[in-house]
Amino acid sequence: MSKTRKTAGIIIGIVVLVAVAVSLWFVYQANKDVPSEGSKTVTVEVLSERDNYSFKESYKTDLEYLGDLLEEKGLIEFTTSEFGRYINAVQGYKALDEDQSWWNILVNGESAMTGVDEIALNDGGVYTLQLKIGYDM
Amino acid sequence: MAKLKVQSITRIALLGALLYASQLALSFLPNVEIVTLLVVLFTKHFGKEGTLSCFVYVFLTAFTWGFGLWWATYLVVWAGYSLLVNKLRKIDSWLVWALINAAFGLCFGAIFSVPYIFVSPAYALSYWISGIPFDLVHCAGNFAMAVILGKPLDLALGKIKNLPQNRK
Repeated sequence: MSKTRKTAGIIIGIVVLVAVAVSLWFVYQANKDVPSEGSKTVTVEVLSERDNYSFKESYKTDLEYLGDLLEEKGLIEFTTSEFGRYINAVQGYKALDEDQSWWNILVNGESAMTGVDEIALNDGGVYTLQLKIGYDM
Repeated sequence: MAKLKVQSITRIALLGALLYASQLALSFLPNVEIVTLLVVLFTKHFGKEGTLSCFVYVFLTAFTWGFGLWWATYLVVWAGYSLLVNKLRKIDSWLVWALINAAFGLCFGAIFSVPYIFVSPAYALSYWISGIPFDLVHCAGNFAMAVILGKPLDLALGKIKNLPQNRK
C-alpha cells in the first residue's frame, strides 16, 4: 500500500470514528433523563422482603435528582465514587455481601439504568428502592 | 518439550496476571484502561498465548468483582478481541491500532448489552444508551494509550522476547 493511500485511510478512519462518537453523544443527549424545574411532589417507596419491611412517603421538593432527595431526607447510607452515590443501606437496612443483597431502584415501576445521582425527579414520579437478593439478573 | 510447555504455561499465567494488575492499577479512572493495548501487544508478540492470557485475566477479575452474566460476556469480549487482533497482527502502524482500539472502546457498551436483548430488548437498549458517556471515555482513552504507549511497549516487548532465555 502506498504511503499516500495509507495516510488517506487513517484520516478517513479518524473522521468516521469522530462522526460515530458525535452521533452517539446526540443519541445519549436525546434520551437523557431531564428533571422538571420547580416544586414537585414525588413518592419514595422502600421494599425489603428479606427484612419484611415496607415504607411509602410523598415529598414536596425543589430538588432535581433522586440522590439529593434521599440524602436530604436521611433515607440512605452511601459511599461516593466517581460514579456518584452508591447505596449501602436504606433506613438502616443494609445490602450485604453474605446474601448478595443490593438496592435496586425502580422509577415508576421500571428498573433504573443509572445511579441515584442521574435519576431525575419529575412531578408525580414514584421512586422505589427495592432490596434484591443475588447478583444475577 | 516438557520444558517448553512449562515455559508457555508460565508465560500465559504471567501475561494474564499483568493484564489483571494493570486493570486494577487504573480502576480508579472510570473506563480508562490499558488492558486493550496490552491484549494487542501480547497477541501480536505471543499469538495463542496472548489469547489464553485473556482467559486467565477474566478468571482473576471474578475474584474482585464476582461472577455473573457480565463475567461470561467479559470472557467472550476479551478472548474475541484477542482473536481479532491475531487476524490483524500484521498491521504495524500504531495509529491504525489506536483507531481499532478506539473503535473497540466505543463498541464496548453495545457488545455488553447484547446478552440483555434476550432478557428484554428495551432493557438492553437503555443499558447501552445510559453507558454511552463511558464508551466515549473508553474510546478516547484507548486511542491515547495506543498512540502514546503502543510503539515504545511494542519495542520493549520485542527486546524482552528476543532475550536468549525467552527464545523458544
